[in-house]
Amino acid sequence: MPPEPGSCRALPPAVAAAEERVRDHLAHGHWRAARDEAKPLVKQDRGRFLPLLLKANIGLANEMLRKGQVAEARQVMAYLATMAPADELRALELELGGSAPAPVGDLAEALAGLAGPETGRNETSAVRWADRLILAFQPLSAEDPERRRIADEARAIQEALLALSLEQWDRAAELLRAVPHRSAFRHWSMLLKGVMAFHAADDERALRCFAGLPSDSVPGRASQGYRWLIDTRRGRGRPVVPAEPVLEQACRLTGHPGGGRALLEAERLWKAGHHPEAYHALCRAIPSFPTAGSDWVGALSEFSFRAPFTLAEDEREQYLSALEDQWARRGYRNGVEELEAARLIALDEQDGFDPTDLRAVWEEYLEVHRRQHGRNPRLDSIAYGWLGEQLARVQPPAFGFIPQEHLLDPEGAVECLRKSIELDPGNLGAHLKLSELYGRLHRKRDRNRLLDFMTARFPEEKAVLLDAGRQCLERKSHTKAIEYFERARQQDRLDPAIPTLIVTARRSLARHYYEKRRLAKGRETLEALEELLTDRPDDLHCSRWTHRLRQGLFELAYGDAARSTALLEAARQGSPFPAAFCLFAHLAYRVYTDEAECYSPFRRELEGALRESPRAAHAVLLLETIRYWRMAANPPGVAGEEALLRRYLKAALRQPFTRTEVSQLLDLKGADPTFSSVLRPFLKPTLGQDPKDPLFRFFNLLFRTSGREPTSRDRSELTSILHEAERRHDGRTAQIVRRLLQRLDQPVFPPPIPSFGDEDWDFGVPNDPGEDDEFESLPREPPADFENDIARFLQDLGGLSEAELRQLRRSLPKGIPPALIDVFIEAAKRGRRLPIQPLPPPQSRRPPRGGGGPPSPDQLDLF
Amino acid sequence: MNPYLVLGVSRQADGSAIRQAYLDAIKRATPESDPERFKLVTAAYAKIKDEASRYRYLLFDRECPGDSPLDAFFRHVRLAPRPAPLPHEAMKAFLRSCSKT
Repeated sequence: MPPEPGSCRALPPAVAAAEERVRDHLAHGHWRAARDEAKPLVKQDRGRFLPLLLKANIGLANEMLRKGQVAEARQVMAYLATMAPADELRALELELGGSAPAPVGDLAEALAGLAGPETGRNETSAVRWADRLILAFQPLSAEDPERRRIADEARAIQEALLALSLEQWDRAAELLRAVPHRSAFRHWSMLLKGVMAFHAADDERALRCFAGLPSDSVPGRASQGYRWLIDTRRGRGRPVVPAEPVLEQACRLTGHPGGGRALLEAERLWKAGHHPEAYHALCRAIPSFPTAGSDWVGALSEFSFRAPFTLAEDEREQYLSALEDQWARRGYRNGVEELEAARLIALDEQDGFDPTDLRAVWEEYLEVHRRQHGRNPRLDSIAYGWLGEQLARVQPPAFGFIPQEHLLDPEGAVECLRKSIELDPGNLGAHLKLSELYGRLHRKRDRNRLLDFMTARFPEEKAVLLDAGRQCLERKSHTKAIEYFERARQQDRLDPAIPTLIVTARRSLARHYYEKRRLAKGRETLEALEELLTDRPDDLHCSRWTHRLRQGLFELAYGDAARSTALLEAARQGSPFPAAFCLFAHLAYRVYTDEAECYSPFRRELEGALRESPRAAHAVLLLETIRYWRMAANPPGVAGEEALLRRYLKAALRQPFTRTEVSQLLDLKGADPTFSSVLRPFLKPTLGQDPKDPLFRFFNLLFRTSGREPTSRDRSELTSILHEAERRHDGRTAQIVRRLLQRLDQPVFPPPIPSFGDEDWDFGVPNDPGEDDEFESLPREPPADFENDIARFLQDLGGLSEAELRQLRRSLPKGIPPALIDVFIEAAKRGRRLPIQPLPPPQSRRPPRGGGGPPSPDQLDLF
Repeated sequence: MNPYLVLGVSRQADGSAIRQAYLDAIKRATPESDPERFKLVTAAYAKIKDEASRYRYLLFDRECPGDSPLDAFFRHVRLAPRPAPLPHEAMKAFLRSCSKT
């Protein structure tokens, strides 16, 4: 029984240490040691330490009884009688009463009372006598027939209890038949029937049996625990918190006596925000805690080591620090605590940005696991694969001089992924991650070597085949690429991405043949694509009309003019409208002939087609066409074509259009400032139909704030738009707005300070007299004190332990990125000066002249 | 949600035992008779159906089994199999503890 938190006062260190030892002994069941340590403490502060002494003695008495040392246990009881409160003592006697014979006089009295005439008998007394006889759990002898009958019924109940414990249901039922309905032990019979129904999962019957039990009887009180379990299992929503006695019964019935009070204490502390204290309370009350078992102690253990991830950051830090201090001081209670502690620390480090720490804590966890459970290469492989993935994360930019795509620890990531593969060559995920990482690091040779290995190791894995095929395409090994894609298609005929890749590969191969004037091969290669073509006019990659058009251009450039004419005419007929054909042909021609200017044989026809019946729906496909060709391997500049489309859109505004078409247009070009002036007029009539539409409200806001990024002033409107998008399940708009709001939450860094290097000052030109004063007030070099301060700071930093450095990172003020402190730490470790790099010149923050549209796509990464 | 608890298997259970437990569980809780339990069982199975997913669960799972200690206890009681009858001595101790007023 730990002292109430409010009563704690500062103790002398020796006393506090002694109290800690007593609690530790109690937790481990070392009753004598606990008693011996607690005795002198009671003399110092009876109120605080008496409960500990009582607990030690109770534990000791129980242990003696378990060993059959009844006389010794009675001596302990006698000692307890001198200091325990009377009601506690009574309860203790009852608790201990089982192994010691009940006083013969008590049983005789009960037997006589029940054997007497029913009329005039007090029902309460009868219940009490019946309870006493059953709880004695000893044979009753009687001579007269009435008392013998009662003794037989009592024995039947006791034997039924034994049969129930042994799951001998038939025998228990048979024994209970010997107890008639009007028996003094009928309540016990109903209790046991209810318990049997509970274990048979017949909850309705169990509740019926428990319903009639007198509340002021042992069967009545015993049934409360079973009823609470039934109600909790059946109920929905949060169960009602039971009183401590009922909760304690539930804990006993599920195999862990003493848990009721511990649970309520831990709950109270947790809800009050004393999270580490809640953990300690469970440790004190449950000797085996924490466990990895499937019982509720295991569930609480799991809770204790996962709840930190649900806490706020500062609460989590406090919880972890308190536990780490305890573990450092007293060690781990058991292997489960050691393993879970290592896991908790490792997972907590995931959110940090120190690759060295991250790797160290994970390797430590794996080491503990290995020590406890033996070597497990597959587990280690998964862990290292995950580590590699974490180390390949992109670091957030800080102060503008860390590049956007800076990975946390690319070499470390490669090393971990290689290790993962070495531990388990069958770990496909690690292979794929390493291949992707090589791609990001532009290590083509390593990637190709790895892919060759992967295609041999995983010959039928679709992801591997597709990856290998893409690499072959990049290397222009078209035949090999086609082979890989075809094999992937054999694995999954339903994946729509694979036919697209095959079309790409074959088309590239065909183009290669045409360029080499191997016309027959080129034509044959393109004909092989027929089965993969679609008739969807908006499918710019695989539609039949675009395919004919491409082939027509190949024939035009390298082959037969007549064929070209026929093919182009077929494409024109199959295209959705003339402008679509002309624009596609125009851009395709430019890509295939590497035409830098906005020129092609189709240009004039395109301009004419764009003047005819402009419509918003057509504009969508035309913009898609431009976007499609911008993603080509050698994309053309499309400024000229976009200018044409802007005029087209202006004209399209005069024709009817739908909300869907406007939505698609905004999707394609809404963030492009060069299109804002032509798209803005579409908004007003669209918003007029539904003023609350989140997408249109968002673009309205963007267009209204032309020339600047949305700021905190726009936060309330952005929030309102987000809520509306969520309400309408418009996930895409919600995602865009959410991202923008997150950017608003990030601290705004000041522009970088320009370099003060000597070369900036010495131009060999004498200064004007007026300027000298101004320049002389600016330092040419950082002052010496500043350098000394930095040197001292680095020295202090180098003296911190790893745990202190972790704590420092966690406690950085908001707005200071961890990457900055890492630079200092790295310098401190290596004993170097900080690398001072020249910073880029400050960028102008003034809006562009002439208003312009919303921020450019480069500045506002929305899509 | 502890998937082992939901399926009623030990943490050392292998793939075939887990699959059998899953099949037994969805026979008892079909999508029509108990859709919530069916979803729970299906999600639990997905977490530990093969060795790799079991290792990933062991290494990385952060899902907390409750909002507080008592809530974790309640949820455990709901999900866990029905407790077995107490051993005789424990039953006697339990009944005696109920004799306190």
